[in-house]
Amino acid sequence: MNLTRHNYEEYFLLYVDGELAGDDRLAVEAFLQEHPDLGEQMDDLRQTVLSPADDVFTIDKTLLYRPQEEEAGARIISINRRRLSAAAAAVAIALLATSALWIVRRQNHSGPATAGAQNATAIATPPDDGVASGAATHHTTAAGSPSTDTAQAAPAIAAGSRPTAPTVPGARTIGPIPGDRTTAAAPGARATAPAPSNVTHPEKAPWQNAPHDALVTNNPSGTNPVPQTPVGIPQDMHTDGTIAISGSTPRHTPLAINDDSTQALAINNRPTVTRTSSPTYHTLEDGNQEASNDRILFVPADQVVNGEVKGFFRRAGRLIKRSASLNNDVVRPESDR
Amino acid sequence: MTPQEYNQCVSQYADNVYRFILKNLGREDDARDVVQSSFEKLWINREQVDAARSKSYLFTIAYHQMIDHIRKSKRIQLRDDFREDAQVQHIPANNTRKLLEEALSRLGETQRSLIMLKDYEGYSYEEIGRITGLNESQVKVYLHRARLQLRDYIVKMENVL
Repeated sequence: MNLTRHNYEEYFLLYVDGELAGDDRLAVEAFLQEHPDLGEQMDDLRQTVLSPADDVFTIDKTLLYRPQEEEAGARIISINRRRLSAAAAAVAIALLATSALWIVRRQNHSGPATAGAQNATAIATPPDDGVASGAATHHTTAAGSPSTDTAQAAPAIAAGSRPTAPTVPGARTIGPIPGDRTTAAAPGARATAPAPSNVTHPEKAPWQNAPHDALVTNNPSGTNPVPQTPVGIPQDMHTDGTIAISGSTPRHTPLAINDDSTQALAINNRPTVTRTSSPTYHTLEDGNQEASNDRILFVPADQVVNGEVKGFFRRAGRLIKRSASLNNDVVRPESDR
Repeated sequence: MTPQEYNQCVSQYADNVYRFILKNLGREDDARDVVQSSFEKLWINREQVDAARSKSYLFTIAYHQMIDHIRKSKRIQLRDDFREDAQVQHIPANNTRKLLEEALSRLGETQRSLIMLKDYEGYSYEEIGRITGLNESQVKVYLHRARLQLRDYIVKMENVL
């Protein structure tokens, strides 16, 4: 420590601040004894030091004290219990909402859809007297000769927005577009039906066992082994706007649509035909109430379910937005102030 | 820091912090609010605070809370009203102490805080630097400058009187 008359002020300040160690403090005190004229400088600096004993202030500490360990722990436990109960309530609400949604969806599935399927089955299944269901059956029972072939009853296809043409197993159908979502297929039944000898046998369906098991109106492959007599279609079938089946040979176009505006066709891919070889053609617009019910009940079922699900989420989103807007309305005036 | 240690900290240092804040702000209610919020923070962060360093931590919180309060008060321009209420604070008994209080009130917040942390609490330059966010050299320079300003004011006023 090199204390001189040029740098003494800094050391005096360090001395006043108490930043000097023992030897340095002694060095400053020795310097002051050697230079008594600088003692006044030291006294002036000492006057700038605040005395803690002179300024005593007290504050009410009751506001600052905190509860001890046990009380603090009890408070924490109560907060945790509150949060736990809130979480349990949220889970319970979520479970209730999910179960309610599941019940609604199940009712929708098992209600109209089942009824539609039943109706479709009823339409596709011919009555026991051997007459195919629907008025079209009478039109398409052209040959009328009984056949002993085993015919596959095709599943009835009822189109919701686009009626489809009746068809027979393995035959080309007109109306339902592959992949059309409005087309619903109902499982048909297998039955033994007498096949007329003059019935055209187009391509052979996989489930067909007999070479000429059903009335076929189209044979694009041209591999029918036995040329058949064309199926006679009454003229009123054309006026009804349904499918007129006139093709009997592989080179003949089997299906013709007379009225494009009324292409209501019901497709029976696997109708159960007993004691008759008539194909299970029928139309949805022939006044068949069951077929109309099919269109109404069966097809929109999925749409109804989807609409209800979407509506549920839409309402939930609307509630969330509404609550958020309420919260913003509460906060906004405070912030505006 | 346990709740017991926290309460012990309240018993030992609440008055010191209150004095430090009151002599800076000049208003008892403001000083009380700052002290309460400082201890609130200490209680919230008690798990991370070592009991041996609780005083420094407490003064650090109080200092920054006080700076925030001063800046807020300056922003809303109520400084003059506060100064009228500042006369409530302790009046020194003798003339030198009164002059020192006047000189101290003329310092800036940082220099006044450094003087009080050094004289009242006995903190070293390094500790004051940790509390105020300054480095040790800055604390030394600011503190010496403040000390000389106080000296000059006192000497000047004594000569006038």
